Amino acid sequence: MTDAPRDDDAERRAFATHVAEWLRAHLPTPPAFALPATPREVQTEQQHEWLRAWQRACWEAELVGCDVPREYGGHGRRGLQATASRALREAGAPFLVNLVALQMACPTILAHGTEAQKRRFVPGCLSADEIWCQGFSEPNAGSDLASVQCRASVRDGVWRVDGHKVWTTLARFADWMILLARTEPGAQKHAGLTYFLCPIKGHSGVTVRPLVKLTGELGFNEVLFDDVAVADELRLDERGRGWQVAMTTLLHERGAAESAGGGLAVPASPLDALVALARRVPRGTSPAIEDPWVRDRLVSLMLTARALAAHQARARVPALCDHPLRLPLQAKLLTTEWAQALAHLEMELQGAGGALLVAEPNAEQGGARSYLGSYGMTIAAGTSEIQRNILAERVLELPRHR
Amino acid sequence: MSAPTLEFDDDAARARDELRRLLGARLPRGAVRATRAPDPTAAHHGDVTPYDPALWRELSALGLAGAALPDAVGGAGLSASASVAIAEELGRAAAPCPLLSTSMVAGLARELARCAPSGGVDALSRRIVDGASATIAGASGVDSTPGFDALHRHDGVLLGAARYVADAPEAQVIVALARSEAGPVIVALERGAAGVEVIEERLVDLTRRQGTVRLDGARGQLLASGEVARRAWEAARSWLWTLAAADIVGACEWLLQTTTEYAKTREQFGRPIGVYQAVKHQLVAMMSTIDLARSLTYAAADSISRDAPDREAAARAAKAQASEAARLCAGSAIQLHGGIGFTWECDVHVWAKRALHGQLSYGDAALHRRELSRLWLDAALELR
Ligand SMILES: Cc1cc2nc3c(=O)[nH]c(=O)nc-3n(C[C@H](O)[C@H](O)[C@H](O)COP(=O)(O)OP(=O)(O)OC[C@H]3O[C@@H](n4cnc5c(N)ncnc54)[C@H](O)[C@@H]3O)c2cc1C
Repeated sequence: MTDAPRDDDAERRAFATHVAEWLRAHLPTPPAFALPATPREVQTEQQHEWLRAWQRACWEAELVGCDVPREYGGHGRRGLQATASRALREAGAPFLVNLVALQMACPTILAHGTEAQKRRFVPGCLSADEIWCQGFSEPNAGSDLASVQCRASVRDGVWRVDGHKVWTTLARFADWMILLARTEPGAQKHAGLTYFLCPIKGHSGVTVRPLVKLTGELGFNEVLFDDVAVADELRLDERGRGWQVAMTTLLHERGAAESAGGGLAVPASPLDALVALARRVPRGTSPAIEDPWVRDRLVSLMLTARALAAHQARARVPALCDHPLRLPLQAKLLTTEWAQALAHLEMELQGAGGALLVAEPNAEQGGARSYLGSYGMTIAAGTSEIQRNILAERVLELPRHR
Repeated sequence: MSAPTLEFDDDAARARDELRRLLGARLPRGAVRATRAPDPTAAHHGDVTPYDPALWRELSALGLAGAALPDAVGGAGLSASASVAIAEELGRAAAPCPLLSTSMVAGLARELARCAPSGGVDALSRRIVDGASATIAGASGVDSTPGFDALHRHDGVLLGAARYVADAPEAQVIVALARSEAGPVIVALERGAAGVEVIEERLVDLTRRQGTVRLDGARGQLLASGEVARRAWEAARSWLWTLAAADIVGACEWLLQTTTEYAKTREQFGRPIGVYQAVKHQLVAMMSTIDLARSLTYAAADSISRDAPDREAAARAAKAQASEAARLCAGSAIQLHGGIGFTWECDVHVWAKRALHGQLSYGDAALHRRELSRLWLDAALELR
C-alpha cells in the first residue's frame, strides 16, 4: 500500500465532516410557498429564485462542483462529488435547480469544450448564475434523435438557426440551451449534426412557449427558432460531430456516469413515506399494512431498493462485473421503473382517495396525479423501450434493428 | 440508503477462476446430457447417475470445500463472498457434485465454531478439509430449509425422517438438526453408521441428487445443544440461502448467455431472431433480474462476513430475488429457443431444471418476502 490512498481517505473523511456540519447549520427551512417535487416542475419565478439561491449557497460551500477544476469555478477535488451528493440526498435538502446544467451541459462542455468555453460556461452552471435547458427533441425526432431537422447554416461567418424544439424542460427560465442542429443536410443522418451552446433568454428570434403537462403543471416548453444568430465560438466540438457530443450528454443524463450534481440512486424517504401511508390507511376493516398483498408489494419495492444500492457497490468491483456497461446502462431503466411502481402502489393504497386532487380535504400526497407524473421519468431521457434496445445491443451485443 | 461496500478480494477471485477453468475442462457442454439419456418408455424420464468421484476429489484438492473454514483447521480462511463465487460457478456449470451442500455445512461449522466451539466442531471442519462431502438434514415440510422439528433425539439416539436433504445419497457426513429434552441439538453422523438410512428422492434436476434421511437409533457426535445450537443454526441459515441463491444466479447466467448466443445465430424471416424486440426485451429482462439477484447475493455474503445484524434479511432478500430470476430465466430460455428448446436434445432444460430446483428449495420468493415483511415492516412498527 502506498501513502496516496490513505491521504485520499483522510481528505474524504474531512470533507464528509465539512459537508455534514455545513448542512446541519445551513439546511433551509421550507419557504412559505410550496416547492415543486423536482426541477422539472418549477412553476413560478418565486420558486425559481429561491431554488437558485440554494444552489448558489451549496456551490459556495463547495458541495457543488467538488470535482471540477478550480479554473472552471469548481473546487478542484477528486472523487468527492458522490460524497456531497449523497449527503444532500440523505439530509433531505432541496434539489439543485440547474439540473440540465449539472447533469448534462457541464460534463459535456468539460469533455468537448475549448479552454475558453470551459472558463466561460462551467462556473455559471455550478453557481446557477446561468440556467440551462436541453434542445434535443423535436416534434418529429424523439426516440430517433439522430433525425433532428432543426437547421443551422453559416451566413456572414455567423450560424443562423431555424427550427422547432419541443418538451424542453426549464426553457422558460433558461439563459442557455445545449442545442443539437443539422448543419450538413447532404450527409448521412448521424454525421450531419453539430452541437451548439445557444443563447435563449432575450435572444432575438427565440420564442419559448410553455406547454401544460398531463398533470396540469407547467414544466416543459416548446422553443421556436426563427433566423437565430449563434456565433461560431458557441459551437461545441467540430462540425458534424454533434452526434458524438450528444452521446456524452445522454450518458450523463441517464446516470451512467457520476456527474457534477451526482448520479442516480433511489432515495429511502419515499419508501418510508409509503410504509407510513400503509399504516395510516385502512384496507377493508384493518390497516393496509396488515394485508398480505400490500406487504408483499411493499417488500418487493424495498428489496429492489436494496438491490440497486448493492448494484452501486458491485459496480465498483470489476471482478464481479462481466461487462463494464452492464450495470451502469441499467441505472436509468431500473430506477425510473422502480419509482413508477412505487407511485402506483402509493396511489392504490389510497383507494378512491387516490383520485382526489391534493388540495381536497383529507387528500394524501401521491395519488393519481403523481402516478401519472411518473411517466415523465420513463419517457424522458430515452424511453424504457429505448433503454432496453440499448442494453440488448450494447451489452448483449444482439444485432441492431435497422 | 447509504452506499454499501462489497468485499471481493484477489483470493476469492482466484478460487473462482480456478474452479471455472476446472469445470470448463471436466464438464464440456453436453456431458451432463450424455450421461443421462432417458428411456422414453420408463415411467420416469431420466434416471439417477452417481456423481463423478474423480471430480469431487479434484474440487476438494483445490481446497474449495473448506474455503470458508479457518486456517486453524486447515481451511482456506476465505470470506463468505469466496464461497458465494464458488457456488455461482457450480450453478453456471450445472456441476454434478456435492460441493454446494458441503459448503453449506462449512458455513454451519464456521458459525458453530463461533457460538459453540468444541473438539467435535473442529473434527467436522477437518473432515471437510480432508475431502468428506457433507449435508444438513432437518427439513420436514416443502419449505426445505432444515429446522429442528423433523428429527428428535432421546437417550442419545436419533429418530425420525428428514426430507429434501440435498446430496444425501452422496454425502459422507450428515449433520442432523433435532429436538430433544435439552432443547435443539446439532449432531454429526456418518452416512454409513448404524441406524442411518438414505432413500433417494429422484429429481427433475438431472445434475443433483437428493434424499430422505431416516434415522432409527443412530448415534453421532453431539456438536451443540440448547440455546447455542439455536443461535448457531440461525446464523447458518443465512449461508444456506445465500449459497443457494448463488447457484441459481450462476445457472441463470448460463441460460441468459446461451439464449443470447442462440438469438444471434437462429434466423427467421431472413434475419437473426435477436433483431426482434420481443426477443431482445425478454433477454434484457432476464439480465436485469439476474443482476438484482447477483448484487443482493454478494451483499448478503458481505453481511455474513461482517456478522451484520441484517444478515438474515440480506440472505432472504438474495434467495427471494434469485428465485424470481430462476422462474423468469428458466421459462424465457425455453420459450426463446422455440421447438428445439422443448427437446431433451437441447441443453437448455438441464440448466432450467437446476434453476427451478433451486427456486423451489430452501423457500421460494414469496415465502422469503413474507418473512422479510416480518423483519422490515413489523420491526419498524415496534420502533415507532
Ligand atoms: C417530462 C419530460 C421532460 C422532457 N424534457 C426534455 C428536454 O428537456 N429536452 C429534450 O430535448 N427532450 C425532452 N423530453 C423529450 C424526451 O426525450 C422524448 O419525449 C423521448 O425521447 C421520446 O420521444 P417522443 O416523445 O418523440 O416519443 P416517440 O419516440 O415517438 O415514442 C413513442 C413510443 O414509441 C416507442 N418507440 C419509439 N421508437 C422505438 C424503438 N426503436 N423501439 C421500441 N419502441 C420505440 C417509445 O418507447 C414510445 O413508447 C422530455 C420528455 C418528458 C416526458
